[in-house]
Amino acid sequence: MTRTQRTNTIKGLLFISPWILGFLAFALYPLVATLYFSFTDYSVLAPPVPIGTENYAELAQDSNFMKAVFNTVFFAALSVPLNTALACFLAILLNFNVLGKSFFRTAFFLPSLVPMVCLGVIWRWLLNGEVGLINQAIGPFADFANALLGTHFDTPAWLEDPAFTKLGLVVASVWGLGHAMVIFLAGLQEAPVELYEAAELDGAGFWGKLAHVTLPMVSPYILFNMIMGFIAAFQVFAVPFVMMDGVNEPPGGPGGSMLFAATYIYLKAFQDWEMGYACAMALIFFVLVVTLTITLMKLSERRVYYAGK
Amino acid sequence: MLRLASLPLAALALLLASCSPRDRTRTEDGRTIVTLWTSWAGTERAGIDAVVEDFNGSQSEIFVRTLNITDPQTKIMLATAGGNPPDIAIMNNQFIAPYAENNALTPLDGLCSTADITPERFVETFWETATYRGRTWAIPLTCSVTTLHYNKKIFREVGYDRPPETLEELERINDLITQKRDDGSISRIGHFPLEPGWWRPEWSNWLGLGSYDGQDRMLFLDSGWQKAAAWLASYHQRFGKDELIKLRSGFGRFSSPQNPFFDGKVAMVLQGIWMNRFIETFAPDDFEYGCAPFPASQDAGIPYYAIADVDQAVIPKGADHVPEAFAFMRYLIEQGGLEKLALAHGKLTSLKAVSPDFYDKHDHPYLQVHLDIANSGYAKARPQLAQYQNYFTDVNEAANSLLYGLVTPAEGLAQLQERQQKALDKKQLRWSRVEESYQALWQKQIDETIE
Repeated sequence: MTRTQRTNTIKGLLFISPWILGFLAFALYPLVATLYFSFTDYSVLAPPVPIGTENYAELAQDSNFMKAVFNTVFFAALSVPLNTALACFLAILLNFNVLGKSFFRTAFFLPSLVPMVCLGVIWRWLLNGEVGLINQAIGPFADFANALLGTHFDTPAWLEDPAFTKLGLVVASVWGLGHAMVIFLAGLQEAPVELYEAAELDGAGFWGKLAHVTLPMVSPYILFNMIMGFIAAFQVFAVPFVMMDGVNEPPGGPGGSMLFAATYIYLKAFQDWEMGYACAMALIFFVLVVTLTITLMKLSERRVYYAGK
Repeated sequence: MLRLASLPLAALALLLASCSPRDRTRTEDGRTIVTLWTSWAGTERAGIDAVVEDFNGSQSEIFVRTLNITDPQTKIMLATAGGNPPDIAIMNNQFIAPYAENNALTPLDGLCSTADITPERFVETFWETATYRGRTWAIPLTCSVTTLHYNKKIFREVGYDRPPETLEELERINDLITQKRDDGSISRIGHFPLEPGWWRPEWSNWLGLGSYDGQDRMLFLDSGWQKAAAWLASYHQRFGKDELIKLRSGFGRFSSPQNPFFDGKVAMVLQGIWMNRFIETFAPDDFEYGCAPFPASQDAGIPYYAIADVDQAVIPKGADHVPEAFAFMRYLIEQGGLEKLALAHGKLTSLKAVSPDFYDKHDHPYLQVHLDIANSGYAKARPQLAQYQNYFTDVNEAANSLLYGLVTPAEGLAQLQERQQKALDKKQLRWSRVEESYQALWQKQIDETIE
């Protein structure tokens, strides 16, 4: 290494040193500490006592953990594809040159700026079984269907009925699709006009262009939004926690139907003071998210089109 | 190059300087500052402020500074773990066991004996909540016991002019009061165990037996919980799961005029002495209520049962000013100071002696009912469990599932017993590993304070 190369290396390292320090202190150290604590009995207040794989053995038989895994996967499987599809659809609509385009783009993006806790409080009211706006809106349809078909449809108790709590949360999660929509919009604007012109010359209509030009061109954005969506869905915490707090329910909601991975990790770590157990759970979810991300990347290799390749 | 390198260093120096401790231990006039953390807010905060002001005014050595916190259990735990706890913290009695078992509190036996603070001065039920594993960890302050609060107007409507005397009679009245609309939905219910639902894990006590034997066994498969599960399940059998869910979804928040007890949706609730404050503030002007012991089942062998809740003052482990903190705690439990606090909180004091002034000034119309229950021996605190929060969350959820019929009583109780016994065993195992060293350490701390 020449003197200049050495100086450049040192300069380069110095420039990225804040990131390196941040990574070591706030990512690597917590990860290694989590791994260590997961093999201990650690209450935070007292020093950790090594207990081997006891935490993992207990997790394998913990019905609440299984419930939390099921709820989290259920929520992610419903909300991520729904939100991605809706965000893509909205972006396509907002990509048309119509009057007030900027206003609509801002209007659809704005809700995603609402802080999570506020979102929880707002949706607690919107989903209230008796006076909530959602039920007020769907009530007349239920009445109409009942009158027409002689059925007995009733508006759901979104926050109290275990069959509906997660669906309520999926509905609430739609508010956060603004970010994905903006990313799709950016992707749509990158699609070359000549491809659409060529498709038109070949006789493609709106649906033809959508299927054969638009979707392939935004496929990297779909993949990105899906991965980010799944990571966020696996971390869902604030909104269900706040929503349940307002209805005087245990944090896991009625019948444990709102017990998500992050909620259970929080409860174990900070309410039950079983930090070691919580660390074991956090690691398992970390591995789950990494596996899912890699699987998505592998599965999408043949379906995602990168213009630069 | 050097200039570039100095930037992050300067930032780091600034960060460290801003984190370095200032002298927060003394006032300008040289008094030792004792920090007090409490979640009391509003009128309750005003009550402790008034007592603190009296104390600070009488002092030339100590100055108490109060700080409001939310979620005290977690915050005190994190502050103590981080080595920077307050000198005094106010916490609910059910958290004494988890904190003590994790060696997070200062044992007060030595300080109490030198200050002549003896259990005989306190109502036994309340004092017991301050002790755990043979040591004294807290000083009980303001207290309450639960009673049946019932809507007198609705009672008169169904021909009753007195409260029920057994749980079975309460359920008969419940059936009389409950009304359904044409579409089958419930417009009014007599009693609903999930409203307010703050003591859901304790319902089995009204049917004869609690959840924990106080030693090494959880009792979810014993007679108390068997009967309690059947009683809870009777709600969905009598009124319908969907109807109950729908009814509950329309309940307003506790501290609002839409509280279901205030707006007549629920006619009987289990509540504490503070309820009177909320009734005065939020209930309609013509609201008429009565307070009585919440009756036990006729087979339970007791006439009634009540849950005693106590606000405790503790000194977390690692507090900087233990003698000064205890001096203030000692002042707090002098009859005048504690009664002033209890009056502001609308509660009872933990002391046996009650001054005539306290009766005169206390504005609760059923004060005597609460005092009688507190001294009856039928009022008990929640179980002292090192895994209390786990127990509370788990049994809460199980009680919901039983009431709505999401699980059968046999299945629900078997699962609950398995989970909770395992949680108890885990804590017992942990305790067996540390007991000897902790007991020796605590004894040493106690001996030091006596010297």
